[in-house]
Amino acid sequence: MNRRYFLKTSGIAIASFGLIGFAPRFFREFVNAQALSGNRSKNKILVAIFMRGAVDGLNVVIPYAESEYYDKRPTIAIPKPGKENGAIDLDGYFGLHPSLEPLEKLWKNKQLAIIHSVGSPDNTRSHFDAQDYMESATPGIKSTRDGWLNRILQVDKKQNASLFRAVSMTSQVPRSMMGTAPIVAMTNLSDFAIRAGAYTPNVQKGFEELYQQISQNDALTETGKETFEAINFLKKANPAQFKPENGAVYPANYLGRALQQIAQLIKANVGLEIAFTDTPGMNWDTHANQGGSSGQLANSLRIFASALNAFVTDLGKRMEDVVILTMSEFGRTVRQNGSGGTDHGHGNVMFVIGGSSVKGGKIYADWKGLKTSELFEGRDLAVTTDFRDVFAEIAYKHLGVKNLDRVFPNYQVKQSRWRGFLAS
Amino acid sequence: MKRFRKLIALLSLLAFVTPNFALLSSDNKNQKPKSLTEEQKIIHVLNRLGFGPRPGDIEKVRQIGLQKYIEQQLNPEQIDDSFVEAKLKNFDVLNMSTAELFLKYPNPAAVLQFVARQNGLEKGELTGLKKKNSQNIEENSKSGAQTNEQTPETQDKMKEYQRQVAEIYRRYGLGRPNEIMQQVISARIIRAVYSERQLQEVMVDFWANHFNVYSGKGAVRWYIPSYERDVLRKYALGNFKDLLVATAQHPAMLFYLDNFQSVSPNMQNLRPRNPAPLFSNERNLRAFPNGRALLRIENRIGKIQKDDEKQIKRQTRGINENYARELLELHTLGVDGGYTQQDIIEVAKCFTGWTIAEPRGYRKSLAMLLDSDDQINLEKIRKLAGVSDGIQPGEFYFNERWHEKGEKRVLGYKINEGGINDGLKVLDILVNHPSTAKHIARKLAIRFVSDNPSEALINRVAKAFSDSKGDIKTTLRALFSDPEFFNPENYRAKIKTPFELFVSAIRALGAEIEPNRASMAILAKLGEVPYGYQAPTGYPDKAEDWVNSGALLERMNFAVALASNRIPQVKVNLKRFEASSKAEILEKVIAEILHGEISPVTRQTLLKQLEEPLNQLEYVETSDDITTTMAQRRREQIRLLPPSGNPDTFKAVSLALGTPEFQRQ
Repeated sequence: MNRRYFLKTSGIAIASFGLIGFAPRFFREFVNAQALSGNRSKNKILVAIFMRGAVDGLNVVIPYAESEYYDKRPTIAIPKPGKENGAIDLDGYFGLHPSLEPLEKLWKNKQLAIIHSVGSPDNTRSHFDAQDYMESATPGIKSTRDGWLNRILQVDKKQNASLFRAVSMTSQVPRSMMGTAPIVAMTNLSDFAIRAGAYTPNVQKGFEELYQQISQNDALTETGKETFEAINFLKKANPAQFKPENGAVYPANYLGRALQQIAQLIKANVGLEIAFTDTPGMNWDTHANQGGSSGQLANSLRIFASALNAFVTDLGKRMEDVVILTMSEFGRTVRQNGSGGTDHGHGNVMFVIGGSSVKGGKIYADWKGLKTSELFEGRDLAVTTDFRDVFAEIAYKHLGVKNLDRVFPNYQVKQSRWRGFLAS
Repeated sequence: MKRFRKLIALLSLLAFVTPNFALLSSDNKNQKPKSLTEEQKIIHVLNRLGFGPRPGDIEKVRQIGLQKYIEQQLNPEQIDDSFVEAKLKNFDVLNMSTAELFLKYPNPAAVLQFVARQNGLEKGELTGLKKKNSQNIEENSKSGAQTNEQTPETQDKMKEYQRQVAEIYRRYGLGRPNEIMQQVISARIIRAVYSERQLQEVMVDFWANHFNVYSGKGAVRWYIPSYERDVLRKYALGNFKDLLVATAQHPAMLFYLDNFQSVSPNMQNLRPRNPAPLFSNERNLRAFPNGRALLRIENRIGKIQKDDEKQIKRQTRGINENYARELLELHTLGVDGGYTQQDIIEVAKCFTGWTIAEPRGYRKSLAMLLDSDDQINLEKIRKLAGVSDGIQPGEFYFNERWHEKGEKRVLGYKINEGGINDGLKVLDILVNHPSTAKHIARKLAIRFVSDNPSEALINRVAKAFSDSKGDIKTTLRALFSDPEFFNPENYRAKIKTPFELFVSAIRALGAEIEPNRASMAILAKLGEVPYGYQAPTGYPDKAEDWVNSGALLERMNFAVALASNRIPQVKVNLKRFEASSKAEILEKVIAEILHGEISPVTRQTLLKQLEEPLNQLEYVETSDDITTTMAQRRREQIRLLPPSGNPDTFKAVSLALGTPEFQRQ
């Protein structure tokens, strides 16, 4: 079990002195939590995937029933379902890009919900600013220091939380996860260790002892203790032992490796609640030669879908506890440009994939359509769902975060605006 | 920190109940002596006004006298720093103007564009190629553009273009723009490690975070050498108003917080009513060879111009409030400084038209260098924007036509100075506002004294700031002479930031460093690369933001890497720690690296650990799944090589640099 860090160190000491009645509430709480955690059901887990570069949502989930779509995209449009290389029909109006074929099964199993025409109220078309706003979840406000995922951890404080509660499979802590709550960022699980060459065990033991001194009870030594318990815990849990199950085959690229290791952490029960990765190596920023049913975007989407599919297959029944959320900073222009591509736009699409709590097999959108008069600034898909309402619904219903005002500062979270893609 | 306080509370509570706990808490902070020893004061000053002592520094300060040393540090221009200057003489970036940087280090995307145009590619096609090949240094990390999915023809085409791009870089002696930040950051490390002007370096770091800009955004990196040299370093110990005005007018800030695009919505006629064509008369025409051809080009440009105009209109479709908001919240008044959203809007109006001539000036430099037709195009854009002749690409200028005219009300003041004076008036009001004095005083107190400075201290420092009209030297002098500064409570009470840890460890070992990419990678792992913080708040300055497991682990791994001499271009000599017994080694290490400032328990633990026999680990081939690549396995093998030198010294130094004590200052 993952929840024994404190128990091993301070918790046991208190309990064995029989002083629990005298201890402050904070201490009682976590000692009790230790007792509870033994039979507590598994964590709910959110896997957030950021498709940096602004994916062309209109060619990911295609409104094939609209003639405007074909008028405005003469050479890059995806043909209607039934035609050669056509879209995969979803609901008689929208279709999936043919490269996303691996996800069709999830749609049919109602594990995949799609939110369309979603995005930021801020109209910036800069990758930089739009990612910044989406990750801080404070569109228009740059000085927000922390990311929304970190604020979830801050609000939903758990004294006995695992150090692997929030893991980013990136070399740096992403903006979404920056903040005061502890985060582990690594591109490879084996990196989370002391690296002292041949003397590693010896040096590690030395550091471990240094931070074990009970007399120096401060943030630093506490953190030190936690660190080594986490290192040893991860070593014992040995996530690398978990091979892909159910015949899952991960693509050999960044996203495939990241998702495989997230699956390993989940199987190793390390107490993971929020995982993050982005998609290096996939070019979503398709200004030219974007292609249609085949080509540049199609190729990226194929790997993307195959990585997602491998992850869901691998986790099997464990998906009951998992929700995957995909996001991208903004959508792309409705009209294709002069070089067979699309430029920076506005509204976009998000995927929510999970177990039975996801009310999948449905497109969630207040869809205004692609008539020029309905477009944002006459050119882009309008945003009719604020991305924060998607984040908030997941935080509340899936992760059980109640204090949403602190997660989404400067925003009045209203459940009435939620699209309802998760069962309450 | 909360948890820490709770634990202290708990321990004191338990102290009543059981003698065991009373014993345990005897070591804690509350029991610090009433005043610091002279040596401790010196260590405190070397840690806070600088990046920690080097071997021999304590003795040196003792000889100079502590007060005199502080006064010297407050007047850096009087300290000889020729050693550092000599070390920096090959860093050409540091002395270049922005226009020169645009010329010498052009964006490869712009060069590629030129090459593609030479090869007869259409405008749209280049954008596609450029994006696909992640040549655009500006947004490439953000767009994640890097792809293998290209048709063979495109790949061949690209290869040929890349060859031509490389040829241009070679022929004209150009450099890649990555070099800019590498030099800037290396120079920061060198100065922090070697400079005698330690306080100046600390203040440069302080202001760089207070007036944060991020090198990863757009063209910001080309502006940073000038920003640091002409603004941060120049006014680090000068007057706050000069510093504030200089940041407000510096393209690094204008670009980073978007003010360069802030345009009055009431602006009429983007294009001058009857734009005079460049080649309207024969004389102009004759001045250029191929004048007739140019005239044709001009006509074509006329068409492109219309698109560009639309583009400009779209991008600059009104007032941008970003700078105004951060100016009030972060640079001056502070978040509770007593301003409203309406104030932000009004301040933003005052700064409309504060912009940059050719914000991406490498395009212009390149056109000049390669003598391309693009010059004419750019010349027209410049005319259109109303940039006067004396202004270099990448320089600040005030665009009257973009400015929002009429009266504005800011913090209760009427502002109608007109033109550039509207913005200057705002800065004047802000500098003299009591909230600004308090905000700056608080931030300085947090930096130099403790994470939770008393209100009394803040008020005293704020008064010095106000009385001296924002004189930074006077304000700091008040801070350093305040009784709270040497209060034992505040001794070793601050956690070093990663940059401070990195530099102080190198200084403590008396190591030699020639910073390069490896140093940047280590700083990135530790979590603090100068100009690498995205949000305008700058890097945090409190323990709670730095103390977390991932970060602590990296600190320990850095300690190990440094002690084992495994950091490229860092030379550590541990010979002087060697001795005949392990205990003696340890004593030397504790004396030199930790200056004896170590708890008895830590000392005991260190000794016990050093006595443990050192066993070597061997590399075993383990896994073959896709999560371990060949490169990783090779890394793993290298990782398991034993460090050179005396293993006991290596271990003692590693552990000492990784102690909780060394993380503090």
